[in-house]
Amino acid sequence: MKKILKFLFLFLFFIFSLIYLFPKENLYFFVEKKLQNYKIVISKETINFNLSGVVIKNFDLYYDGIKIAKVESLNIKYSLFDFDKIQLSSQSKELGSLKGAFDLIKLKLDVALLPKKGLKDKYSSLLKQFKMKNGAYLYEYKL
Amino acid sequence: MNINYNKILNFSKPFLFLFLLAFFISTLGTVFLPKSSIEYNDYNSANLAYKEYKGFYSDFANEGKKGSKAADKTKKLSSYKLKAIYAKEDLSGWAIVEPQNKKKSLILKQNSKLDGYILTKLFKDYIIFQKNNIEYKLEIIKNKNMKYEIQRVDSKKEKIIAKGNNIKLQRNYLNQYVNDVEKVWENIKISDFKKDGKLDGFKINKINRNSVFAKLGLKKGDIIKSINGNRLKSYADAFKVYNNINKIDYLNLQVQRDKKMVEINYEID
Repeated sequence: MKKILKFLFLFLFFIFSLIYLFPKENLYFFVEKKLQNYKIVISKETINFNLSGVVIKNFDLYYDGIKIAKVESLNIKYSLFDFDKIQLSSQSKELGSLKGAFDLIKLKLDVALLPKKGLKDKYSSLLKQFKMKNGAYLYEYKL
Repeated sequence: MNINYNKILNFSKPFLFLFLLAFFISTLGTVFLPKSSIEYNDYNSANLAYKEYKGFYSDFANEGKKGSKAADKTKKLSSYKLKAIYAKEDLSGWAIVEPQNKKKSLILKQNSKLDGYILTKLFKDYIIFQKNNIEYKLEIIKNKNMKYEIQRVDSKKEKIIAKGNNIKLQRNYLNQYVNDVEKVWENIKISDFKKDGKLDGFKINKINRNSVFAKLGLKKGDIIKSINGNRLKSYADAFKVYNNINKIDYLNLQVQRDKKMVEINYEID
């Protein structure tokens, strides 16, 4: 039992060290590059890193070269208490609010978008990729 | 007080090792992960090449001043058809030329080359090529059934004047649609057209017969392939035109209709 506790303690120490030391900015650039493969570009953003994650503020969101919206904030959070998920939440005056999570074990992204009025008419082709449920647009993607 | 340094060292060793391992992994991350952010580059201005010209002349409005003396001395070119001219007062501009043996039109700017002929001057109803110090004149196609009169859209009642595939429309009238997207979707349904999994134009699935779009020469089943020579390969390409429509005086649409390519020219007044 003592050995298991010691192992657990060492593991947590290693994870904390890694989170503290890892170049988060470069990791963010890597994610940005991956998103570009899906025609998504985040531009003119301000990035703030903290111990629990990253806050990206006031950026222009482009899809397939088209400016979709100005997004006020996007929070990406990671917690050891919910170690298998990366939480996402976003606010945009033009798009609405978005909440979601990326499952690190299943490698699956789940997103729920609560859109602003008129968004359906403006981005009908984009929203076709979402499922409608209880007034929210749900999107699932498995890597 | 006795401090057992050996005990402390033995206790710290695994932590030190793990911290160094985390540091090593982080260093690898710094080396191999990207070092700069991705920003969106707007290429809007580069893609609609012909918007800067002020005058558009086609067989739609053909009557103009006759050729200059210099042009009268020139030889005539018979291997090409001249379909439209877009000329400025300084004789620059561009033209749409179709080789007789091919069914595909080419858009030529001033000083561009076509089979060794250099397009040097553009007049209201003909253009001048030069090759080996000899000038060659190419006149616009004259349709016998067409009335050659300059039709201005000055009359406020005439919002659209269509002659074959050459169409003039008032900018104010166009803006009514540009500024009201819902009005557009009430009258026309468009979807992307894919070829080998890649976007290759936009297909008109439905068009209201009495709408402005029918008057603009578009038909159900048409696939819009390119605008002003720029292929439509993404939604972004179409949006670039939409976003720049207020700056554009001329639009050339290449449309696939019943397996044939059709060109529709618009002059926005």
